[in-house]
Amino acid sequence: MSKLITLAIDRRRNESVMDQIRQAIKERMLDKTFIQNDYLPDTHELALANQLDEHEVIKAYQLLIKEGYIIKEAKGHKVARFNIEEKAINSLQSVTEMLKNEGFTPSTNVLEKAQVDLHHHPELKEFYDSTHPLLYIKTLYCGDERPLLYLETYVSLKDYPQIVESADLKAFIHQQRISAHRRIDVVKVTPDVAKALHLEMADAVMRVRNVYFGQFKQVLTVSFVHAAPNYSLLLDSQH
Amino acid sequence: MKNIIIDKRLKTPYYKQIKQSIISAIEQGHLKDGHRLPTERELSQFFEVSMIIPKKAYDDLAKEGYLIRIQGKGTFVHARPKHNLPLNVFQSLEALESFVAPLNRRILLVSKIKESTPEAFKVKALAFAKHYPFYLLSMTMMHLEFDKLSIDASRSLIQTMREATVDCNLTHTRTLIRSGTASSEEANLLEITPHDPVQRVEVRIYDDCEQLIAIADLTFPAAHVTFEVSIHE
Repeated sequence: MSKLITLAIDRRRNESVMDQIRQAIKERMLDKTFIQNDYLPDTHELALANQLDEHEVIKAYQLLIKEGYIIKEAKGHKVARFNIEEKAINSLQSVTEMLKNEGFTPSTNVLEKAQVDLHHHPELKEFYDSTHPLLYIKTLYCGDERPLLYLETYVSLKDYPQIVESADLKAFIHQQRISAHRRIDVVKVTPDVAKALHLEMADAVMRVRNVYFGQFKQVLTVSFVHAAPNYSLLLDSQH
Repeated sequence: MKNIIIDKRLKTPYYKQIKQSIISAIEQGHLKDGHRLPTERELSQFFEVSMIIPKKAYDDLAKEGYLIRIQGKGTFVHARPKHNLPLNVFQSLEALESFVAPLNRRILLVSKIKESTPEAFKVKALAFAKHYPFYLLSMTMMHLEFDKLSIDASRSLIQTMREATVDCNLTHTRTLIRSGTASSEEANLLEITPHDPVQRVEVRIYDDCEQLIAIADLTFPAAHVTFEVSIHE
């Protein structure tokens, strides 16, 4: 049984009606009006209830299919796996591992790898002194082909010169790290993040700063993770 | 101007008097974050002292982090504290209780939710830390006896709930932290701008039979609050 919903469509806004429908449905998935495996209302019914052109609704649904939010079945449009509730905040689990545990098929995409100068990154000053050359790696993590996490990692090339040649950087860091410090805040998206995670510029996303330490308490890597809006942290209290 | 005092009979240097009066006005909450202070010239003319004196006072205070000076715009109070909250305040009922208990609170609304079975109540409150809004709390409580519900700002809402719940033993919580942007009402209460980023924390409180007793929605102004956690394996 699909729930019939009213969408707040404002024709005076400069966004297209189709975009507004798409955005409104995503919001309904975020607030859990629609959860995984629910069926979205029939395009005809939704159009009728909201006095919209059915073509606009069909177009919005098609885009949502393309973005991986819904799946088309004979019975109707089914909500794909949407909300990520990360439970691994208190562990050193890797992102891929976490996504797998949440039931996604993870894939990664390295967007950029470059040597950077500390002068342009004042937020790193508390971890490295200014003479350190740093390796910067920008990675996009997808689950079921949908972009979920935007990760920027900094590694000191002075302490780990072998890292440039190292084919498997992740494994290298993973075997060395023994503790971490995480700081979580919420920030407005930057153009880069908006583009990578398919967001609007007005959106706010969760940003997690991870600092990993090795066995001598030395800083191994500093990374910033921007998470898609459907990401949330889940903390369970002990009984 | 009324917050800045120079008493020429005192032996304390004038610039120190300006500094002290501004610091104490900030600490008592008379001078709020973002407030624009008089210019150096205005001060020197008003108190009939040299231009050097207000300049030294403002420069010192800016260095100490109390003020922000923007060329061509003026000198502004920078006083809103930044809180680093350990994530474990949400991880047990006891920690949550001690976290929501002692803060300065203003109860905005207590209402009975109509046509709900079992009866449910809603409490909305705004917590303050050092003169600034810290978080907005909206709490929905089920399985309560309204007669036993005595809300007052000095007691913890969870303590109040424990007393007013009918034969329930609150034991554990489930917390979700998400990102969001402030609505105009939230922005107004939290003293930020609409669409500013906020953290939304939803705490579900259960009893020993896995029955949901309450949902507490906390909204924090993201520019002034961060959460932290340290991990050792």
